[in-house]
Amino acid sequence: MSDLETRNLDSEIRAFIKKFNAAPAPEKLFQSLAFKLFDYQFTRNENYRKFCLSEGRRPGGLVSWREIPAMPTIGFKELVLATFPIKNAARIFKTSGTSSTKASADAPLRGAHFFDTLALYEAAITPPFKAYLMVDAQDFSFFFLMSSPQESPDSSLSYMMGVVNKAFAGQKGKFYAKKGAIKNEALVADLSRTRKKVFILSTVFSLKSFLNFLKSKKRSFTLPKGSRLMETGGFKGRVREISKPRLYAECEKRLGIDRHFCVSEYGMTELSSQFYDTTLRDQFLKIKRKPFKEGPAWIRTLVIDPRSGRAAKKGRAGLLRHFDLANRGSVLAVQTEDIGRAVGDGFELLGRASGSELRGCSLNYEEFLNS
Amino acid sequence: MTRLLNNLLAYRDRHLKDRKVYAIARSLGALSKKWLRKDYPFRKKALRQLVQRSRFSEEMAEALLNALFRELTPPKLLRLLKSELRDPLVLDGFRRDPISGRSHRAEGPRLITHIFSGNVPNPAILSFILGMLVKSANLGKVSSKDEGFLEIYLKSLKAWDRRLAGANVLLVPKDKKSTLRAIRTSGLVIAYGGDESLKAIRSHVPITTPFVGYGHRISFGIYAKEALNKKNLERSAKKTAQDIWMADQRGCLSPSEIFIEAGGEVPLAGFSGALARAMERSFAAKAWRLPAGPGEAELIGFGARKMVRVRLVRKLEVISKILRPFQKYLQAVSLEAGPARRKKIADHLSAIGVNRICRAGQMQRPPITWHHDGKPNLASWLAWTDMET
Repeated sequence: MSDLETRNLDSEIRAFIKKFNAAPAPEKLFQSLAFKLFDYQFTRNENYRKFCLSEGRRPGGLVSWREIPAMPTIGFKELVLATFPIKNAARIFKTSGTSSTKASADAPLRGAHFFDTLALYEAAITPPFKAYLMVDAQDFSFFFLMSSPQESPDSSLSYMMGVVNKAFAGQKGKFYAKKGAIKNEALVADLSRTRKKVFILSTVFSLKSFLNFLKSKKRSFTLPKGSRLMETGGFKGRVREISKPRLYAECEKRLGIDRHFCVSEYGMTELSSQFYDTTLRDQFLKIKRKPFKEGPAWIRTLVIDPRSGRAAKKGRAGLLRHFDLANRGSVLAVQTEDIGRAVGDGFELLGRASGSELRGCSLNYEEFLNS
Repeated sequence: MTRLLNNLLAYRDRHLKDRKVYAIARSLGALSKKWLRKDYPFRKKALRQLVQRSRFSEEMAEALLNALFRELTPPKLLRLLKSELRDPLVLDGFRRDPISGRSHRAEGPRLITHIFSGNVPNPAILSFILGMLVKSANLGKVSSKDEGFLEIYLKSLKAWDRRLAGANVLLVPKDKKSTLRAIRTSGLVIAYGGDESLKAIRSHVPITTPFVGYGHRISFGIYAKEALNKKNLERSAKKTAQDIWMADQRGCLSPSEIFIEAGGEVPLAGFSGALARAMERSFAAKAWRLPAGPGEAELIGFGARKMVRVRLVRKLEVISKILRPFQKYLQAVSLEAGPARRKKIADHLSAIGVNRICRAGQMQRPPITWHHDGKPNLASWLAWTDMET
């Protein structure tokens, strides 16, 4: 059972999500809630507090939400970052680990995000999903090219897709991954039977392998007009730097999904909220611009110049730093390795900082620590 | 490919086999001196490659090049030959060994295949140079993420000493078939890479062909309590920052963790703070510090990238225990301690397999005479003939 302060804070965040589920929030309101959350996390999350103090920051001393110390994602691997005793965790989501083939389930390789309740997490999922992916239509057959939440209880993506399945598909969507592999034959059979518009939700890796399967069987579909794709990932772990235009072209060829109906989702285990390409939404709101990534009103992103540790000059590339008000139980400010450039109210995703991936002749220390 | 291999072997027998070892060393050494000149066009080209393809900063690339070629000048190469062979002229003909009383000579393999799968460039150049010193033809396969540094070096050699350069060939990175052919024809196969790559390569090497694998390694830094005080804090931090900075923390000589012995004048946070500041200066990036485990430790990093862990240990003896799991992979330790203790701790480190103990600030500048991976370098590549009277 949570205490009164936590319950009050949660209902305040939920009210914020509800109020601004389709509109931007005023700076002032975002800031006051961010400060309140920072205060709460500083008090209750011991490891975060130590980090803030080493950065010389504490609640009360900040002028803007932008100054809230951002925990590097590595912190989720090295430390317990929770505002509550982790024995009370209702759920633990884990990061997918490193690209190393030796990566196993042991702790040092995988970051952990602890949740005492999933209520906020769930509340944060549906509004942007609807706004960026289903702005024009409601009725789809859902195909999830990933493992189900039951099979992968520690995957935040699977959990999120479970929420989507419940909220938008009446639990009728099907999950096609079993033990990491896509059941291609079953998927082909189900796709050819469906009469409704199709909504495919997939990791880049699974999508790629399914498209390769279709290619090898010389199969292709012309799915009903308005069918769409949400893909995610692609430069983490197994598959690196897959060209999106090429992937979408292949989708158009094999599945008949127009590339304007292909939307990339960007989320991470360390966050509770997600970002989406504005592609589909812009089209129906008749906004003409190059699509970029945008999130809901309760998450804001700064592009950080690694040299100064402060916001990069407008339009310059830097490291993405997210401030997620739905991250109540851990830390709201997260420093990523992802490189991006500020565009509109969002950002353009450019890749991942290379330093950590370039490995010379040094042994991967993490694989051995605690072993 | 067969023709290439036959030609290469014939070329080696014609131009390299009877060239005097000192002449080869002199020529290679003189070329190194050219590489140390800032205006040497090949150097400039290599710097560009290191910055653009290997993503080193310009300063890092400069430092890496200098560290490499300063160890490859004529006197240094001579020192290497002497330290490995005592009498380098055994490479030119039979020489009397004063200890055994008999004559002996040493022959390098006719052909060496070098396979590089890592992406730290210096070992590749060194490997070829050692190959030439023992009068071998060299075939190299760089990883497909090749930086091209070795290629630039060989071009500089071609412009400087055409004869010598002719005995070196680079294979097309993805041409697996040719690599396998090369391996079967070689008198020695040298591979650089992780355990998995080495295992795969070794499985292709005929049982009668010697194989030398240089695996991925791990290094550390140690400060004993008497070695760190308020007076030398900034200086020490700067040196350790240099060790971390020079190979961008990617090399086998980059310290993964710095151990500080408890009970000294400077507490953990004091050293870690000074180190973070020094790293900010060398990397020109904003650093963060993250108090983390195990025990009492702090991480220092940039952005979301972790660079190094600084850990407090009660007694230095504990370190042997911490390092034991890495025993097979231990490389260098920068060890700062009072003279008497330094020797004692060094004994412990040697016992668990550390193959190089140096000073803070020197980790990325191994002398050419260092026993790389704890083994003789040249000496283990040779085959000896002993002649009794």
